[in-house]
Amino acid sequence: MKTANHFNKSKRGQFGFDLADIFSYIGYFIVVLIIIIILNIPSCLTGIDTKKADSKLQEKADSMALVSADTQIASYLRTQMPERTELFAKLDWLEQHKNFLRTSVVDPETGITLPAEVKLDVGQAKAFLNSHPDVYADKDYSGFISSLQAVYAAEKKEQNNVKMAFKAVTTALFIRGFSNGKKLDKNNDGYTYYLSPVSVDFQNSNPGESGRDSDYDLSVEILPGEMLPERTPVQSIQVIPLADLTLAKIRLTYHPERSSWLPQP
Amino acid sequence: MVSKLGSLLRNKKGDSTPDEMIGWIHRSVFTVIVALTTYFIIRAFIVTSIQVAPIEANVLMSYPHIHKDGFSKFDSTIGRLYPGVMDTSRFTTGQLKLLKGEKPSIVGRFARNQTIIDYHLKKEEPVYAYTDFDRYKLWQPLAQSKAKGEGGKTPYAELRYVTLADGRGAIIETVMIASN
Repeated sequence: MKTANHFNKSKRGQFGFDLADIFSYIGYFIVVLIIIIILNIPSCLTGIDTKKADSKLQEKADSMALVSADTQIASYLRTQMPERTELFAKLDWLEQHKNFLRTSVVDPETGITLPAEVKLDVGQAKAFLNSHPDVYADKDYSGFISSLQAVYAAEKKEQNNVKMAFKAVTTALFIRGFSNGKKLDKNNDGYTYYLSPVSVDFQNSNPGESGRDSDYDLSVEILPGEMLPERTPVQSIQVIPLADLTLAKIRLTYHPERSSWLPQP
Repeated sequence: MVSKLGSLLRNKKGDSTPDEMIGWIHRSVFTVIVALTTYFIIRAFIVTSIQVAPIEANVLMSYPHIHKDGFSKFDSTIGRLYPGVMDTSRFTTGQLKLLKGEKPSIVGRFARNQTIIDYHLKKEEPVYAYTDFDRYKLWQPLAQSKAKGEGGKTPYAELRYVTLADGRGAIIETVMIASN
């Protein structure tokens, strides 16, 4: 006599399951796969990628450099211009150390960044400041820029002098240095000097217009090769009113310092 | 042939067949797949550790600059704060104590230094202010050792240019030490 179990077994294939079993397994597997895809959790298969999460947070931390850049440009503009004696002492120091300043330029043909000397004629800047003491006397840096614009717009022959005065004074006020521990020689005094790029556009009276990087009227930067690669720079822009009722756009491109240059605990 | 083999493998009582056993292998494999999949799905939702200290450190670095209890110039008459303009009389540990919590997980040291040309023309000693001096000194060696893992401390630092209330420039060197 055949039992019910024996009867069922007789309907199965030679490996103990039939087509209905195979399709039910495939169907079950597909359902599980769809659930995983819907949940969109790649880490189901690879485990939790905490490194990726950490790197995302690090990006957010980097973006906070913008906050720092904003306060720095605001601080630049509020910095009081020194008295003549102090200002010229700073310019003299710059004259003595300008051979130690290095910046970087991009070769237009190869796209490679190359080291370059900083073109700084401190004598020309001092001559201009001597003949135009009103541009810095009793003013803050914002007022200094505003006063330069009055000369820049009125006297075309003075434009190069204005550019050099801006370059020298901005460098003298805001240049930074990092002790690099190298021995003193004719090309190095033990410091790496740098200055985040500062540019001024007198022409763009509408702050909503897109920036014209190559057309900034005044600009200065000292970015040695050591300054460039580690972190992405951020830009901060402030607009100041000018005496002729136009506006000047001042842009600071802030290059965060390399972590090895930062103060230690 | 297979049925012959199956009959050979049948036990003495005849109540178990090889084809049934082979069928259970598939079921077992799929049971394991389902169990593992469920495990990984649940595990994916349990985030064990994410390092938020860089964000916290960056926020707290900016905090004394933009808070009325920090060291930026504050005009109490009109309630206006001047971020980026430092009131040197407020650059003290006593002032920054107002910003720390009961049990801070991050402590900071702020050093007011000269700009590089001023430093070379006429050197002055830096001025320090701490959010929690005792805890900072306690954590400093741990941060210097750069030990990883639970109980370790990690330093975060930045340099920032500020204007002093008298119009001169200064560089603020900030170091925040956070628990791992």
